[in-house]
Amino acid sequence: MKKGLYRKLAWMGIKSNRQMYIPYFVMGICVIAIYYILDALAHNSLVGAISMTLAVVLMLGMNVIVFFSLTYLLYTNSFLMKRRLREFGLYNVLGMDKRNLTKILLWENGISAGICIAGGAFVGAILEKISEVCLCRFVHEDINYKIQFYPYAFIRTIVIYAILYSIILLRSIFVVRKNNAIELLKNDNMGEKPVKANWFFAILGAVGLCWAYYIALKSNASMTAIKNFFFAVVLVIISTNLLFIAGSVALCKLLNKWKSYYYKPRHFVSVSSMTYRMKRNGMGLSVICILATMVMVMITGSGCLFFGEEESVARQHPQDSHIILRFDDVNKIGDDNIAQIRKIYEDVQNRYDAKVTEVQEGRYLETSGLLDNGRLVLDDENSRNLFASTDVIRKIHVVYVLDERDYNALSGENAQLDSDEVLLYTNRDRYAENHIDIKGLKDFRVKEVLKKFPYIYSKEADIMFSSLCLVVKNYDEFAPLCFSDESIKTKMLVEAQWYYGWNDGITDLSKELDMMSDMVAESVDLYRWTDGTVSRNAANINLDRQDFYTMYGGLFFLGILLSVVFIIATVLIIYYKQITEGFEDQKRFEIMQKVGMTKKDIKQSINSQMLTVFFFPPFLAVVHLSFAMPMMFEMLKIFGVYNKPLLIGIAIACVTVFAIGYIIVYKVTSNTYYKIVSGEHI
Amino acid sequence: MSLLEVKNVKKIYTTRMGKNQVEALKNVSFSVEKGEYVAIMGESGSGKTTLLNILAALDKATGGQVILDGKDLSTIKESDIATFRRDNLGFVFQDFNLLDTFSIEDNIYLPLVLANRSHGEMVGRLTPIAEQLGISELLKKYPYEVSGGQKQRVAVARALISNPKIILADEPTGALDSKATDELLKMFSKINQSGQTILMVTHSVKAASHANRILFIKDGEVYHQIFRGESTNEQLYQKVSETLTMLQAGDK
Repeated sequence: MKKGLYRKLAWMGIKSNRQMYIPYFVMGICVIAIYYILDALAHNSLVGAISMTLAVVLMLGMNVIVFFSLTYLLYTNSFLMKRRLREFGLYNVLGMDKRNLTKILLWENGISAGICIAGGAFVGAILEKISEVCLCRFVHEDINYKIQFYPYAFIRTIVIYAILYSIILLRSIFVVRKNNAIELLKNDNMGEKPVKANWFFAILGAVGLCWAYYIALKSNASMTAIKNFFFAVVLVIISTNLLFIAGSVALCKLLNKWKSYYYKPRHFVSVSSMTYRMKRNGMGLSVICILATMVMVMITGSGCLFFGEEESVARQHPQDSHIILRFDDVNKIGDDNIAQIRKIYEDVQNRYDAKVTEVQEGRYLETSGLLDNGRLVLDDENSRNLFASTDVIRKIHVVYVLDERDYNALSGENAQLDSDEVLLYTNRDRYAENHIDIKGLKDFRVKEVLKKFPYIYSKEADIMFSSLCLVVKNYDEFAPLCFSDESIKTKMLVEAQWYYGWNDGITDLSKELDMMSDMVAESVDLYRWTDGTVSRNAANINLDRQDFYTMYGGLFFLGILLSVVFIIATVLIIYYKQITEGFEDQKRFEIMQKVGMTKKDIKQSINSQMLTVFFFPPFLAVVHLSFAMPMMFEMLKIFGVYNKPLLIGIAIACVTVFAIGYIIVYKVTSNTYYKIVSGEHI
Repeated sequence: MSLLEVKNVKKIYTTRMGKNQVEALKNVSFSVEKGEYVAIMGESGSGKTTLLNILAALDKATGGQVILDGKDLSTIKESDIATFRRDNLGFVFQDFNLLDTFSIEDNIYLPLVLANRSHGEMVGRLTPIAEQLGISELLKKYPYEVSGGQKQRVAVARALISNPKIILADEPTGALDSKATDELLKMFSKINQSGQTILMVTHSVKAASHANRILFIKDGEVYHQIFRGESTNEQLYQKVSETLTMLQAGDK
């Protein structure tokens, strides 16, 4: 055969179906560009210098993009193949065998892959710098405007997408080889049989969705919430699929039976054609719904973290800097030892010319256990097990103990306790017992259940677990209960702690950090344990803020980037749906025009179809989002963001922007559809 | 006054560049009385499909007039044409043109639904027609479940249901086997006897020989016409065959 024939045929096939191919290329170029950007950023020396966390976040994004590209390109490619099969059937009848067809496919996919990879890398290289600048702004880093090229990212991009396109090619070859000529020829006009309503799956979908919503509503702030969140996500995806595929058929059947609705010019055609292709339609719609939900949840969640990070930082840092020391002996939080440490701190601060203000300090004992019916027990299995069941999680309590003197000083009360009495406060569940048994060693009488508790530092930020606060006569008497047991002591389940927080007005962060490390280093002998180890926690708000920005700014950036991809994908799915259905319906509308359907009827019918079909997915996505809100709020608590108005505000903004975009897409695509079916399209 | 009057209709197609002009219809004039059953015959390319498209208001004539029941088709506004077609004309096509998304019943209802009639009225109209055409049993089925002959009867039912002034049939037997053809032609005769005007375009001698009058078109003109008179279908068949032979020979 003539040289270059296959290439020409492939190229002609692409050109004559450009309505289908151009969006396919656009999508390919987009995902490849974004992959290249993420890869380049993740391996960028700048990002590496900012933080490894950020690089990890970006790599996570890379994986998501690769997985998404594969499923999505396969999905859109199936639309293309459906249109091309007829043509291949013709070639087959005209004497080309499957090997020749494979060659055409090879050329065609080669051209597609070439255009997309080259275009993607090019666009990616251009946008990479812009993204880097955006990322730097999000994570509050200095911006470097030098243009760079990343050969390794480039090579990885080419290799990964070459593999992806090969998979798509193999699938196409498989489809062509599987069908014989006649089937190929008939493929385009072979109508689907009308599907039967499957009430079982429709109800299953509804039940699944209710279950997922229930999980979301009853979730609380713990790692279990995260585990449940993923479970709920999977449940929502499956249920949405079922609902759209089975539920929409069932809905159509109902509408079919409703005579006075069905036999109206504007509903007649739309309801019947929806029923006719509901199974396929349902798939597309559920994908649109899920993508829309993902975009909104992602932007709302990461946006909330990003905009709420200041609040979160402030919550964990009541003072600019603080040091928490942990001791292995309760006597070391006695007045003498603490005074010595404080003296060293003040000396160091003077040496650095720090204008120290707002010093806050306090000591307490800390332990934890399962609180059950007035008895606090240790449970090695479950204590602080982040993935325990929700019931167990609720029972786990972090216990803070103050003595009478410190409590009175902090709260301004004048509590007088006997040695077997305690004042008690719980932050979550109401305490109903009149006594408390500490680990089977001593049973205290609860003198009073307090309504509030003067937390030192911001212990309430520790929202993962419930907290139980006790006021006892004095530390010495309480401590032996805890420290007496050697095994407990070595496992450090009980700690005597001292918090020291201050503002120093030093603007130079490194000087501030130097001062802090001198403070902890020079006092080390006073808190070193008998076995030689030291346990302390020194933190600075500016350092942490930087960490927060790196982490959440990076997440927000990734959220936006992924959302862009998902939105483009959503738009293209809508576009493909409209175009393919338009071509399918062309013949039908032609017939209907012959028997007296006016252009106005066509418009009305399209509107009816669009309103029913098109606005349902975003509507359900908004419902999904609303039910996800309580869960998101609980999860955000884990990251220290408590701001409900912020969450709701971002969610509303998100929905509004999305709705406007969706309406625009709807207008444009329904116009295209109208042009095709009314025959105005060439 | 005749139900349908076609006066000096002319149709010239111009190619896209405007260089070549093709004269599909030169000068066609004839009329159809109410209750008539007229067949139009001609070879491929003789212009009979063009004529039918003009009669159906699917296409506009370059010159001349088409008057249906006193209304000149060329005076109908573009936006009203579809409604006019729906209310006055019934169509039967060679390839049935049933919609695969609708059940048989809904296919028949289509013109009435577009006319925004009530469901009760639709059922009332369908029942006798379905009875007459013998498709009462098929109503709940889908087009892909029935045979070609049955599909064409459904199409006839769809054409009849809006009580059209005239039925335009374009090669109605073209896609049918001989048994289904006989049945359909018998049905057309029956419908005609109940008073329905039918205009059928065909190149099947058998189909034409069922009509009361046959017009022959050649090279864009009405060339000849035969009236049934007292002839039987068989005799008419003979006459039509002879006329066609004559036509092909090319001399008058």
